[in-house]
Amino acid sequence: MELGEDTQSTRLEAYRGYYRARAARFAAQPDYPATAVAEARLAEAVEQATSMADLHQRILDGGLALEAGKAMAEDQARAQAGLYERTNEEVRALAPAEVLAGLDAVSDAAALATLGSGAAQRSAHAVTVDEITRLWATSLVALENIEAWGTARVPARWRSRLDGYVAEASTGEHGVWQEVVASAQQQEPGWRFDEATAHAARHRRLVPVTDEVFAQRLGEHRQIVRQEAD
Amino acid sequence: MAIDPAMRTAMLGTFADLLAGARAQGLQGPDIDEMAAALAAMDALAVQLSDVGQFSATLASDGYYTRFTDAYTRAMLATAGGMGSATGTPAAIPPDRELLAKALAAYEMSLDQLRGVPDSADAAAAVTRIVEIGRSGVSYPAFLQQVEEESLGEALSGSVAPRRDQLVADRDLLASLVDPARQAQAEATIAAYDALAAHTGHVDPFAFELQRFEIAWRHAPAIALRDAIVARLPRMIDLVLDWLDAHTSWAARDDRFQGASDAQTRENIERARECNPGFYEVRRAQLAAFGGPALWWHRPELAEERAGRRISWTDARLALAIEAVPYCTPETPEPPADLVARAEAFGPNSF
Repeated sequence: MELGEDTQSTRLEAYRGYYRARAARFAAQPDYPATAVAEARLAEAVEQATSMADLHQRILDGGLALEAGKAMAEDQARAQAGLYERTNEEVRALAPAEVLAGLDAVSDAAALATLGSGAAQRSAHAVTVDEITRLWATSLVALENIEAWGTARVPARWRSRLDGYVAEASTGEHGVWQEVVASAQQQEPGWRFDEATAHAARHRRLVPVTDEVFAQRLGEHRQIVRQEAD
Repeated sequence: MAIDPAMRTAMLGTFADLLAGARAQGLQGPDIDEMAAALAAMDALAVQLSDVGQFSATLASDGYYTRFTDAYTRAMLATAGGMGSATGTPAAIPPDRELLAKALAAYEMSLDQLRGVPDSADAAAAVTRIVEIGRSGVSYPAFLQQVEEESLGEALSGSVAPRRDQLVADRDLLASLVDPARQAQAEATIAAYDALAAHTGHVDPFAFELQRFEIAWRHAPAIALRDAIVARLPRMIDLVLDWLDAHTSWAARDDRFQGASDAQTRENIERARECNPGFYEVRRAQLAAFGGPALWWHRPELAEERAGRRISWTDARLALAIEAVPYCTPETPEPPADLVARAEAFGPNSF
């Protein structure tokens, strides 16, 4: 005989043990305050159940299980929102904001799952598009080469040769950037490079040069792209 | 041209298996139809595209995965005993034996899907343990409780915290590569892992991922700075040594200068002799934009890169380069004779 099909009370007691274990886990985790409350209510309801049918009615019909799921989604979204606020990750912050805004309207488990996965998917796309902006900084090496060939103090007989290197590198850099733009527009139709986004803290902090050099290189990048476009 | 069939199978096989598994359980209805439609749309995309990278990016960013998995989630939630559900509670009260069998079937299917998936060893180990528990003869609620108490519940969603020994191995690898910026990040990650484990006795995958993100975020500027400096350091040495060596009698026999013809080789040597001082002057300023005014040979990154065997020049050659630096300027027509004489002693193609 299968253990799980013992007497009703044995089965009920086994479920109580399970829900007690869940409640205990979240009670010990300060990152899940809403979940801890919801799981405690859930465990308490199971404790008070007089039969499996009563347990089922209390948890599902009473909405306690869904509330526990929503509480966890809320705790996780709040933790993410706090993290992304501390780190100035404004685009990543869209996902937890969407979850928090949508929780009240969630009325079943499937809607809860869809809310989370949809927000995560839209956020991942937004982050991918946002990070394309920072690709301009991959041109730093080419811009430095162009500067070296174009401004180095060298004997006059080398100047035209070096200017040729500059022209070649500029054309190459323009081509590379056109590929970036084409790829970006596949991800996001109509995408255009936005210098204000390049200056945003989340991007600026990863280009480890002084503000003066940052502005200079961004200007050189702009000039190369525009020059070729004219 | 379509995506290669083998690649298509590798990328979409999991979805086909999930759909087949759901049908094998006797499931049907609009959610199963939606799963089939989503898979068909992915198949159609595989026919339209030829670039695997674009295919993968489109699947991820245009909602194909979400469409399928949302329908799958709804289908699973509609069945009794959905262990991975947000509720964890059966929608009806079938016998425990049936609930346990369905849960185990789902976990075993998950295990099959994890096989061959990169970096899935931790998740596979957790799911294997879950299956072991389920096969041990316990009742369904006892199974649920044991899974809960062993903190295995997150396994099906793939959010499994890595094992500590893996984090330590990652840190040790970075230490052996002499990459202190990334090593510092790895050390901080281990410390965060230990703090989480000490607090609750269990490393919550979600909490760990948040901490790992914040640690990576905090260390990213230092890593970017170090990467920028180490990418530019070798050129400083090369410019000076190429300039000095271009004045030796063996320069034409050195691979750095050899061209397709004697004339080209001569031109390469002359360019190094005449242009490198000017290039060096610009490159020194460019390096300073990243690393500040410290002389490049005083920078810790140089010692680190040499310890990591990413700079091939010997101590003697490096010392010679540093001595030559004051003379490698546009104002200096030739390096001092004694430095050239010392360079002569190394010969062509030597470090």
